[in-house]
Amino acid sequence: MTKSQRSFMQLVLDTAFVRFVLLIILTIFGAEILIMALTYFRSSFPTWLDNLIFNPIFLVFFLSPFTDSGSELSFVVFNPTLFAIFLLPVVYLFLFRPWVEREAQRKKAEDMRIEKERIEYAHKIKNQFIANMSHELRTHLNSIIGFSELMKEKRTDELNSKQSTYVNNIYSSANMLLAIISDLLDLSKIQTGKVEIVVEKISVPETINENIDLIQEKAAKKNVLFKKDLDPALEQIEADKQIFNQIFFNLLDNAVKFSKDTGGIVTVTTKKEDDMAKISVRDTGVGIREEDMTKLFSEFLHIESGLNRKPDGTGLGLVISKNLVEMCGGNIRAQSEFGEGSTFTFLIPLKFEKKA
Amino acid sequence: MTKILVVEDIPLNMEFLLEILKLQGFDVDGAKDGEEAIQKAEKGIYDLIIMDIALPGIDGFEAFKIIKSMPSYKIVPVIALTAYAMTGDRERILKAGFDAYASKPLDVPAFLKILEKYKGKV
Repeated sequence: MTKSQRSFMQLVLDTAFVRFVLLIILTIFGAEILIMALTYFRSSFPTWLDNLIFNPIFLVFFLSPFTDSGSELSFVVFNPTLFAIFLLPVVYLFLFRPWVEREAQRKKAEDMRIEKERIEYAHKIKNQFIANMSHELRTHLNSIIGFSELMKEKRTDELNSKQSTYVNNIYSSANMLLAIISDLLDLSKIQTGKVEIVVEKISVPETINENIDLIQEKAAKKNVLFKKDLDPALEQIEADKQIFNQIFFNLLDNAVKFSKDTGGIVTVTTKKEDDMAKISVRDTGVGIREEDMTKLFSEFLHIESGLNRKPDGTGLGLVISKNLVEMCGGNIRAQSEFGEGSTFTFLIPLKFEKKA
Repeated sequence: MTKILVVEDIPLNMEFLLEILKLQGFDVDGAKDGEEAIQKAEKGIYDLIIMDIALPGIDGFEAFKIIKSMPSYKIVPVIALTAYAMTGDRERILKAGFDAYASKPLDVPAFLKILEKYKGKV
């Protein structure tokens, strides 16, 4: 007991009226209260205490003096009032207060667990909803894309030039919509942890070349040139090829997309850093404003600054890349100077290891 | 002539599929759900089945299993055509025993290439 607690107790017990009331109550109900209290708190007693109190010998010799038939001597020795006065703060400090605190803690932990479960459930429902909606959207896009494709392929004499422009518009818009849905699906799949990682040995230089080949045509249209600075020490890694391609191609695609219309240079750099493979894609494009840097990897936060606003993108590419990189046990970061260009760098382990 | 059964619950998608298949010179028939597909498969003879997965009632997986258990359909190829197009869906569907997989929205040239492959066999 601290000093202040002690003096407070003293004060309470010194009050004549309290003493009088306690005396009355305890004289009449002392034994009953004691036995009730003992029984009530029995579950929190350690075994030795339980064995000590709740055995016939103790009950007869120790508790019987408190009953009305107790002897005069034991009444003096075990005066119920004195005993209760001593017992009350003890019960309060060592049994009741710890019990209240334990209960409060238990309740808090329980509340936190329920809240966590609720959030997890909401997250699951949200992702399930996205997956279901995307399925429905794809189903109906099937006939929009399908029929407009059928019309596109009609001979020109069946459609006038205006009609054929309209059909082309429908077709390309529907395909754009499809790209958005695919990205949404990817993201929801990653976030529900449904992506399976298939580890295989992949050659970094080869994979880089394959991806550059894929984007060559698009890059040529914008006069974008590719440069490579590959670390010879970084050859084979053990990773999921599909995921690696998705991350790397997205960075390449962005680099080309945001290159200036007058052309630019996209540099791919690789470096072996301890047990990680570091891959960078640098462009000489429009760059990113400093205030937009934090938005880059966030869901549904499009960067709207005029120069960067391009119609052909969902804005989810980097979010997906970040999620994928982290799933592989790596990280991704961006550096940029507005108007000068950007560098996106990701690191992934040379050997993928499943998280325990 | 190669006879194809198309199982598809969305009428417009069915119309589109029947249209492109007819243009390719196939003899086509449609079923709007798993139950109808099973009935039609029992009665008629088809050389190829194109099956949607998400169907009301008996879904594509179940209908596939039932049709494949019929003696006359043991070697008939069944192509899954579905809007389940997330990573892993293809593997899941092929693992169920489907002979090929195509996703919606349909990439027509790629799909026709798949059909071409089976046209020779049937």
